[in-house]
Amino acid sequence: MPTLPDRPNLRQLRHQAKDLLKSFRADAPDARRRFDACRPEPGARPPTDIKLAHALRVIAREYGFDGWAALKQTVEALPTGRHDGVPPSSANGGASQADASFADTVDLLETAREELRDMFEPGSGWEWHTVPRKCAGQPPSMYATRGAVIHTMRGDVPAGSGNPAPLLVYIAQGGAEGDPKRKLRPVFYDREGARHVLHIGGPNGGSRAGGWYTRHGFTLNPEALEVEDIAFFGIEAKLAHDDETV
Amino acid sequence: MVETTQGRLSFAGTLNRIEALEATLAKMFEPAVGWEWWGKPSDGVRGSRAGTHVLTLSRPSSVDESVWERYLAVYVNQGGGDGDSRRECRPVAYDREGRRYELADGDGGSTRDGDSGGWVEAQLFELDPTVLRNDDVAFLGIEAKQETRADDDA
Repeated sequence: MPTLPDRPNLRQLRHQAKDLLKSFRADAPDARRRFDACRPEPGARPPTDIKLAHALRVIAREYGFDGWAALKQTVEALPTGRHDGVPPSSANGGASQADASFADTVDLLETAREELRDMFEPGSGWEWHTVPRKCAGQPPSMYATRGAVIHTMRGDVPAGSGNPAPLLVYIAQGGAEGDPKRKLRPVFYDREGARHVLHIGGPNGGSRAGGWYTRHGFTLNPEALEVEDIAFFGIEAKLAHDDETV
Repeated sequence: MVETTQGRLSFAGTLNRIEALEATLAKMFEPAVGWEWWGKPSDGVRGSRAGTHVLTLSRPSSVDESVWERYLAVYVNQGGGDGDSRRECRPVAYDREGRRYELADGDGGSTRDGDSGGWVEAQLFELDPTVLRNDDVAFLGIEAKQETRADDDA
């Protein structure tokens, strides 16, 4: 079993985990073996569910810790430990201390973003068409992503209701005859991570010579989540059966 | 996901940490003396945003012409009405270590409407891949020369 270096660096340990995850996703046999060796229940988790948190745990267990939290706690408690914010002085070929601090901040930011990305779980039977992206309030009014066109707009407020205007989301997609059809649905998250799935509204669509198109409308009820409280917006997908309308 | 209180706290905590780190990083980007940020450096360096069009182009390598090398190119677009002046702008790239690289001024073009005096301009800037490889660009911002107000000269 490898032992931690005399002056362990959390940043470098995180890098090791990222590299391991990248190799695992590239189906490298050695990475797969390392994950298998550290898995509490071998074969219990499908490879598609492996995330950075799991890679961090593999690294920690390889160094003899129960998990990443235990390793982190140990390194941070070391009086001379080189944990975050104390980068090696010559790692970037003579860059200044300020430069190294910049690199550390970038690294911590990327790690935190990956940790957050890992927290977005699609609904059962669904997968991410577009992993949730940060959007403070209404998502962009019109954009295209992976074969779908997303259009968002504020709806009408019933006269005298005093309610805020709902957010309307339209998703249009199309393809050639024989192309697999996917069901798509918007998903919103607030800052606490609570997820709000929008269920399908009024569909319309049809076919043209040699192809098909669909357009679905969805409504975000302001009583469930106000537009101003939207923090992330993603789109989930699942394949539709041949006899299903998408 | 995040159905439990603990999960929600973790999500919110991570999001707060990200925003704090973004704020810390933002303070580390200093425009050059006499310049100010027109578009603050961000790591969403691909694609287009208001006023700019960010591209990845290819050209034969100066070392081996049979090898194509990718490089960063940025169109900075401006426009205005009669009497509006153009701002002197330049894109600035940063690597992961925080070193800054000013993009070199390349081709460009502009047109002016003779009747209204309205004008548009697109100026191309390029980053020499032998100085910083396209894949090593971590952040991209746009600097604009600080404008001198008339009463500053008085």
